[in-house]
Amino acid sequence: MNNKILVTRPSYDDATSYCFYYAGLIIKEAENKGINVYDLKNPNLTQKSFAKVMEEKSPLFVFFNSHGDEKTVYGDKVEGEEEVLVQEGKNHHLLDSKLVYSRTCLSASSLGKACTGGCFIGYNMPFSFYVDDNWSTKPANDSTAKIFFEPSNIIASSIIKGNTASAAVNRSLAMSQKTILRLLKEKTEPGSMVCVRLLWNNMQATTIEGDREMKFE
Amino acid sequence: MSGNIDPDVKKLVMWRIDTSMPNHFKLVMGDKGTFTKEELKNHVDKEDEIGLKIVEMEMNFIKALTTGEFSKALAESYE
Repeated sequence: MNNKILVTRPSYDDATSYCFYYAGLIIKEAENKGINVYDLKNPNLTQKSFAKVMEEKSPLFVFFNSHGDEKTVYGDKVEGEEEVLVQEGKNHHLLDSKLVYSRTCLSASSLGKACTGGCFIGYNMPFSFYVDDNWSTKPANDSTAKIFFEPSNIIASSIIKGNTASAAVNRSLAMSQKTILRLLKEKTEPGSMVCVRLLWNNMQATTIEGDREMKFE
Repeated sequence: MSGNIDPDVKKLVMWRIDTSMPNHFKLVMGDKGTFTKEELKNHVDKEDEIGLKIVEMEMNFIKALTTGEFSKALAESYE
């Protein structure tokens, strides 16, 4: 069994700081299961250290939390510039035969298709969420952001529990559907309907490429 | 980057933001940034890249409602 996962989690703006916190919950869950976690964060989140872990430790599950675009997954900001971790056509082979969950914008639409022999779960539109401005400095207390991160985190959680990639995505979609139903019952509560609309968009943007039956085992 | 949004669509999207987004909410849209309600309305009004993305997201949802895709997906969650 390949008992290793790699998690990238920069934290330099609202999007990455919320992802940082929620990725931390997955790291704790994995460590409690005795899984070896390579937690790449500032100051170790560089292209060089990423490549080194991929080549020397060969983690089977790779969980990106950062910004991205169709062909790129970024890491931390280095001297004000986002550092490229993976770029299609340059080093995307590092993700071949891996089970990847890329909580980044858009990377499923091209990069995910370019990786071979494994499975790539990601988004073909921006992964978006609302935050409550009263809690934006404390992601743990922000129940609004939780609406969006729980269905996302369940993908990574399901994978480390040994479910297939397809089952992990289905569990995420089912959780979003149930949350939407709950929000519709509370539709007079402020913000319920904007959350419904955004959850729907995140569901539609969730994409799975490659071997859907792949497992972390 | 700017678009050419139908004026009625633009009015509808701005009305939906205005009436359903609480003032203490902010939208975090990946690497595009974090936006208050007023900033979102301004982007839609200017029809820039962010505004076009907001319109696309709103119209995706309206389309899902009108085609029955949304209600079908929710019905499946009972199965």
